[in-house]
Amino acid sequence: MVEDDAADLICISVIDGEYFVFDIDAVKRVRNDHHVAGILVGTLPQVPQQSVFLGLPVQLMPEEVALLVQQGVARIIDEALSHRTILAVDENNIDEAVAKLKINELESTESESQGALASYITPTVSITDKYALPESSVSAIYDTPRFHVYKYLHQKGYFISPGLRFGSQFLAYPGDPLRYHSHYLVRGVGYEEEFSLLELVGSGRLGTGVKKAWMVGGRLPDDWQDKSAVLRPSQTNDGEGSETDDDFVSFCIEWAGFG
Amino acid sequence: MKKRNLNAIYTNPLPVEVVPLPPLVPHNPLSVAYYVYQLVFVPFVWGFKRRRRFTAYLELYTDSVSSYVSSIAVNSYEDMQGLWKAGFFGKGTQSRSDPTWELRTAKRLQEASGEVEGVAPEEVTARRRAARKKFKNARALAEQGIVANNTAMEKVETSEESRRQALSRSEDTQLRDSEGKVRRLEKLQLTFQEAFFLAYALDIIDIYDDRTGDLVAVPYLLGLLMPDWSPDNSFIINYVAYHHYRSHGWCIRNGVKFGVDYLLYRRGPPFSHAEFGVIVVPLYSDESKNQLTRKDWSWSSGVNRVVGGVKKVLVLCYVEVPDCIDKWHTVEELLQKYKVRELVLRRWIPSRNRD
Repeated sequence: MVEDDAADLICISVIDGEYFVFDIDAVKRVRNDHHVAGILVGTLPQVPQQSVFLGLPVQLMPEEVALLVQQGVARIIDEALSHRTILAVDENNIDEAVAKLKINELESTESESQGALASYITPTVSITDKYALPESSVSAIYDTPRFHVYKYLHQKGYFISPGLRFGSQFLAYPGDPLRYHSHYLVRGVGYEEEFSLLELVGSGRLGTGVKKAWMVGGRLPDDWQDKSAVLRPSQTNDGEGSETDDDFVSFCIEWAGFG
Repeated sequence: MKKRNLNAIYTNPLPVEVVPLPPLVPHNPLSVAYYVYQLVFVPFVWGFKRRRRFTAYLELYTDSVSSYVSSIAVNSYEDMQGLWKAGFFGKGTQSRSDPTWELRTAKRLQEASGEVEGVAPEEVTARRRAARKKFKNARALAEQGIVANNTAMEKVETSEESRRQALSRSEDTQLRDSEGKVRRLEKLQLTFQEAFFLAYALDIIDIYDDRTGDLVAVPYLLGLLMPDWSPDNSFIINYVAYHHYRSHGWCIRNGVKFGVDYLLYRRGPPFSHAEFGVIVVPLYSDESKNQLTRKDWSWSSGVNRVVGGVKKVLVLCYVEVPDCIDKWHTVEELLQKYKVRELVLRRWIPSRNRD
């Protein structure tokens, strides 16, 4: 993938509804700067006949992608569309198509290096910009309880990965997953959503059995009357901008008397 | 600790007496006479004297709309023990499940002269936890390279234990009534399903209203226990599953501690651990309703993991709910509208499971 201008947004490819990052530099940036770990899902060419050790690309959860796009550090590329467009050529004229592709690439790189030449009009968008999807493609999940709890934990600095193995929505690690075992099994619920006591007991038991705590949390609706009665004092005093999702109430549950 | 003879204590799987009929030899008049005697005479005459009925009291709470049952409890000590020992019904309010509060309090206060018979499960648990704590302390010391002087420590501990036991609490005076005997403070609480099963299916319990003292008849009891008259109300679905498994001979206890609805025991909790954990799922004939109530894969994965981790098998009990339950004359007719199907869900990992 051609890395473009200085504004350097991370390119996240969407293929059939799943989000991938193919570029190793982008993966490093995402992990180190934005503490989003993701999952390796590609086959390693050195050891193809096993699935314990996997390589690039890194797959991201929809919540992770939505957060990165919301913060303006990444954008989504429609891979299928870009492939179809680039490869929409007559098979007999393959050479022509390759030449056209090379010219396209040359155009974008040359224009950057020879910005002074008046005969070339510097393209304001690069080749990847043509296939970038707008933010509205992921904004649908901004209002879900899952996204609220994800954003809350992300702002606190946790690494979050999918929690399907433990029957929860996410797993939260206090630091890099390679250094810690996770602390919390996370479930996000709507503030007034009902969930069954059996689920609470079962998840608490499961969590305690694997040395984690089960965390359940929800975001107070904006039109809640008396927020200060529900939130902790440190949350209500926070007057910083609307980006900090501090209207969040969470509880952790562990079984006592185990072990 | 003497090993109890469980088969002698828990002989009956249900609190009903079964008197088998003698063999009938048609050409022998004596045999025919004896057979007819057992068939006709015994149930009506002898049975009345021997037949045991239990009593329970129903507490209601009323709000502006209607009355709801808040609890059904058995107060008499003999009834409590009878219901627990035959079928493991109910839960003692002051104990883990087996109503042993009286026994444990007698031991603590050392009422009877000499040894009080019987060991309560709570004491077994306490002993096991104390042993584990001792083991952990010893292990911690061993890890630090200190060789502990075991005998000295043990002696100190037992004398402390006996001192602690001999100390009675100041509240113990409130335990005794005016004559100085220990009050019986424990009740056996029955779940709604258990109470209805005993009242309707076995017909061996009389349930009285706590405030008025009136006997509550079975159809009226059904109306009180159901939160509303929708076909999928929580009481009737759980009762259908409870009735189904009891009629197949399983002992059923509540499964909250494993995140399931019921636990199925082959004979009972003292004999072995539960084999199955049952989750009751309503199944509607209308497919769109089923879509609304269905659970996702992460729920299934979590429940499977908990149940599999305690070596039980997860059973999903699907109760087919009828469309409406307005027309019925007997409770039997109502229950026949429901059907039950089961599905076993097991986690199978090819690298770990070899069966």
